[in-house]
Amino acid sequence: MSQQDYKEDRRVVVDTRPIPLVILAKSYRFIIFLVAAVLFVVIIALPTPAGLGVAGQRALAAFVVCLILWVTRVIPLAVTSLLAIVLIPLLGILDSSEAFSLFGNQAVFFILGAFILAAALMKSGLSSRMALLFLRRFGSTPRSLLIGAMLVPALLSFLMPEHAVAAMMFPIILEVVHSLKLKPLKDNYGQALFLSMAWGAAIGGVATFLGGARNALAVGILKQSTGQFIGFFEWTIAVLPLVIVMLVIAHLIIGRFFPSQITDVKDAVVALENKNKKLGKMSLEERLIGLVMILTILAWVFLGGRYELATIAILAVVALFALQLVEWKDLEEYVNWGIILMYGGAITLGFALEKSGAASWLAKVTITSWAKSPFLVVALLALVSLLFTEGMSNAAVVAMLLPVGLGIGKQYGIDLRIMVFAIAVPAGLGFGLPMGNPPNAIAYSSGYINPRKMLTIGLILDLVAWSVFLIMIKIYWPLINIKF
Amino acid sequence: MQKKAAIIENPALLKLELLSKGVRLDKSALKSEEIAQALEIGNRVSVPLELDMILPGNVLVNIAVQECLDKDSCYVLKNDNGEFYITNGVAKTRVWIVPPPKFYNQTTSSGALLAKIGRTYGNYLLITPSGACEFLSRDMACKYCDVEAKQTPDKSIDDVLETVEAALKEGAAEYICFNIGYADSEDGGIKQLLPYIKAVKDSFNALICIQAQPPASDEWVDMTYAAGVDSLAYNLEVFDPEIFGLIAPGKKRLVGRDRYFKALARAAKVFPSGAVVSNLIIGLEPVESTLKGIDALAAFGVVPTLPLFRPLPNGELTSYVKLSPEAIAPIFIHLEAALNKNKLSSSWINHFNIVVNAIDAHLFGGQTPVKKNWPSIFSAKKHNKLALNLRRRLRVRATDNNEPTGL
Amino acid sequence: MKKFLLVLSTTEQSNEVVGYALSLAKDKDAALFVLFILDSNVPATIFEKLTNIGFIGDKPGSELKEAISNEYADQAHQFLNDIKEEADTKGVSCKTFIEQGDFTDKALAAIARFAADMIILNRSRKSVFSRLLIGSKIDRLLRKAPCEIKIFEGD
Ligand code: SF4
Repeated sequence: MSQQDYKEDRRVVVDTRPIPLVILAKSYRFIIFLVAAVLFVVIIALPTPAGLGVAGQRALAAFVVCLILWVTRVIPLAVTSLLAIVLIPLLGILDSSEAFSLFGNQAVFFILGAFILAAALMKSGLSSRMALLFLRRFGSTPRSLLIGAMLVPALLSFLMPEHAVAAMMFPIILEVVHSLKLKPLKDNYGQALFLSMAWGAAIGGVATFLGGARNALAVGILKQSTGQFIGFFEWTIAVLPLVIVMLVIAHLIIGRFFPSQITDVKDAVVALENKNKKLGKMSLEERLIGLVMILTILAWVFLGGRYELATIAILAVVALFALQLVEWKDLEEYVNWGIILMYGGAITLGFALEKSGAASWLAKVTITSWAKSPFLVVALLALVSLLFTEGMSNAAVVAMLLPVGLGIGKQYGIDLRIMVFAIAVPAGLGFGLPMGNPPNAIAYSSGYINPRKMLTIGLILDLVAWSVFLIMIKIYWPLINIKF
Repeated sequence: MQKKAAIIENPALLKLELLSKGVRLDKSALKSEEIAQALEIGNRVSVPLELDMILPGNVLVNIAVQECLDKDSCYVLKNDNGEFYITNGVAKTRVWIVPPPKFYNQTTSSGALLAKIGRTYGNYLLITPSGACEFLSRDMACKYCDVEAKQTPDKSIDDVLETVEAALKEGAAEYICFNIGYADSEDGGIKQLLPYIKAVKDSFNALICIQAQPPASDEWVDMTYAAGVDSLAYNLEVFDPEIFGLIAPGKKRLVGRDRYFKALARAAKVFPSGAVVSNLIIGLEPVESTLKGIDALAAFGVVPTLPLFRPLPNGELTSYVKLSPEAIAPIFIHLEAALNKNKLSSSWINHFNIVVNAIDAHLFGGQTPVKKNWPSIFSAKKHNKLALNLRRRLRVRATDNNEPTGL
Repeated sequence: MKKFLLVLSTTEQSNEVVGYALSLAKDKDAALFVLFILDSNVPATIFEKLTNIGFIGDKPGSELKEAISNEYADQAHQFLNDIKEEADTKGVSCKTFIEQGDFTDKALAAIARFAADMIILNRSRKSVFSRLLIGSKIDRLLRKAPCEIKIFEGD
């Protein structure tokens, strides 16, 4: 061996934590797998409980394994989904062609199309331009700017994933904060701006199928396991009042806890204008992307009954490519493909639980046996979803709770759409911790926000969201024909 | 008179004296076989003669054999019927000569003399695979640099392996220590050593230490450990910022003094406790400054090693802070306290024949009790190689690994 | 002249500790070195979160990570500049530095580099949780530091 042909290009790091911790970290994955495997075997080996068939019991075992892997993330979420898809036929719950075909569910393709559209918006800079344009209009007083800082991301979250909105808004808000010479942690106005941005994006994200893929996922699970469906427009109509009320309340709460000492935001407007100038004139590309986006949404709203949402989404994608508005390379950079698989697996698993009877059995042993009022059950489920989402990925919350939720709904004869809303909507409304919700994490990472304050106010907002949701069920939904 | 006798009687003080003053050979000494062997090897590799000897109390010292300039304080090695003594004219003490290892006289299959490839000091085998050092080529050599000895031809991996094998077989060394000069790249020169380290690790179950300059990025500290290095030295040599610049212009200008601290701090975290060392040469700066340096290094887990300044025969550095043994002794007591405070052991120091360390310090009246005699204190056997390798396996991981970070 | 070292970080900074350090340096006629340690962990975690549980691709994630890191550096620069100005008006000799990495390591390396006689730290009152994380950093420094330590308990 000569010196030349010896290459040490494998980069390494040395873990300097205490040895027991290192061992724990190293064996963490193994331990989780072991626990999952043991639980799996135990559930399968136990005598089948009354009311649950063998298939149901096995589906339950598969569910538990996937749940553990999803929550602990010892393997990528997507890989867990792949596991689900082979585990289910292997256990004889579904036959394998059925299991694999579920993976190609329309909801998955809808989400795929939505991601690609969002990627086009981001890559072309159209999303930033829209944000700048709108935000500038709110620049007359500190108060109005704060409203803008919440409303603009909220509206953008109607169109694209809330995480992407928050990531895109971050530099813009930063620009505003810099121009006003706000000090990290010290100036209330800076904290208020970042929280408005994060919470605006989160609240906006529940409004459409585009803002949070969990919404589309939930509807996908509903459709696959029960045949029922919620349309694009129908969803937004059902949720919009909640979104509006929450935006108002969030704004008021932020204003109350962070009274602004700022009297003038002219500098911010100048900064936004400069940033906008730097983007140059709106290009033809951007205009076309905007057009495709508008047409697509109109098609979802008005043609959604006749054509599948996924079909429209995919056609829009084809249009983007036909007009040479995006390149495949862009999509690779802007879309996390792996995670799309997660949705396919979640739907498959949901269906298997439902079909095997495991879902309704689970519902019975968890809630139905003691809770008498359907309303109480829904309220409880919404709360559980809200609490879970503070600590884990939104989509995982839906994948975990919805199959059981549907089982519960059937037993009480509750409109299953309510169950979908009761789980998917709160799953997008975690305000307190940076853990479960990327917009929160992004805002927190700005360094302007006092985490303790964010937690307190966020938890208050969680409770408010829950109450508003319940009021909406009682008062608003009956009006639009969603009843118990 | 009394003072002179006192020095002879205290092995630690004597070690200090011998380190700085060297020893002259009496005619009787020249007659002994050990000395003859050492002289012959010295001639063959054409380096000035140095002798490893053991003083009472198992204090090991490496002494330069040279003519005595200062007639008042000369140390002479005498041979009395096969027993060696050192005397300063007032008193004498028994010493034991460590004969040069036999492998020195062997040659590699390519015909190179093993003594030219590796030399043993105490129980470590020192190999300088390449004499290249950019400080030298850019005219920023360290003032204490033994430039002559540095101009060694590059050594092939095969020659190095054969030398290591011979030394290990003979039991002449337990640590394999590589020494490398500075290279102006991100790795600071360590990259050149990696193939040698890998080759030695692959073929022998030996402990490896290196002496190098700090790399520009901490990432390379991690890579050094991952490559199989067990103990490491980035030698600061002088703590005082100004004197540092004067004595080691290359270190100051090309590496930067703060890089020493940062890289040492990282290394101390990465390597086993006590395995990261750094020289602070006594006698190049005021004692105060040395003491500060000891505290600063020990604070981040680096074991300071304190060699005494030995002027080179024709080196530039002739003026230096002259310290009497009595002035030096407190430095070692301070060192010992600093090591104890930071729970560091000097078990990894292996060039203990040229540095005085905390284990010798008890002889100055420090606290460290002598638990064992030196061979076992310094023997590499106290290091459990299995545990060291296991530690490395556990701690090193590839950066692209997606371990859950939440734990 | 004595040398004092004030160590700040993304999570441990306050105007009060700066004021305290400056007046201490003035009283004792010492030179003040200010080291700001950037926390690289936060942006990395966000990045991971976005690509792992969020579903946007690598690019927006890494852009965001960079934006956050830059912001931290900007904030630190700004803060240090303010300190310098204040030091000038007070007539305290003051030098400032920014580093990225582990808090204790960087602080100890800086003590060595400047041969500091005293180190001044901020310890904010935090929740039990962050105390466990951040408090232990300072505790390690407390055990190790080879010089005098002043801890400023801020809010
Ligand atoms: S680092 Fe200094 S002592 Fe070592 S070879 Fe280079 S110049 Fe000589």
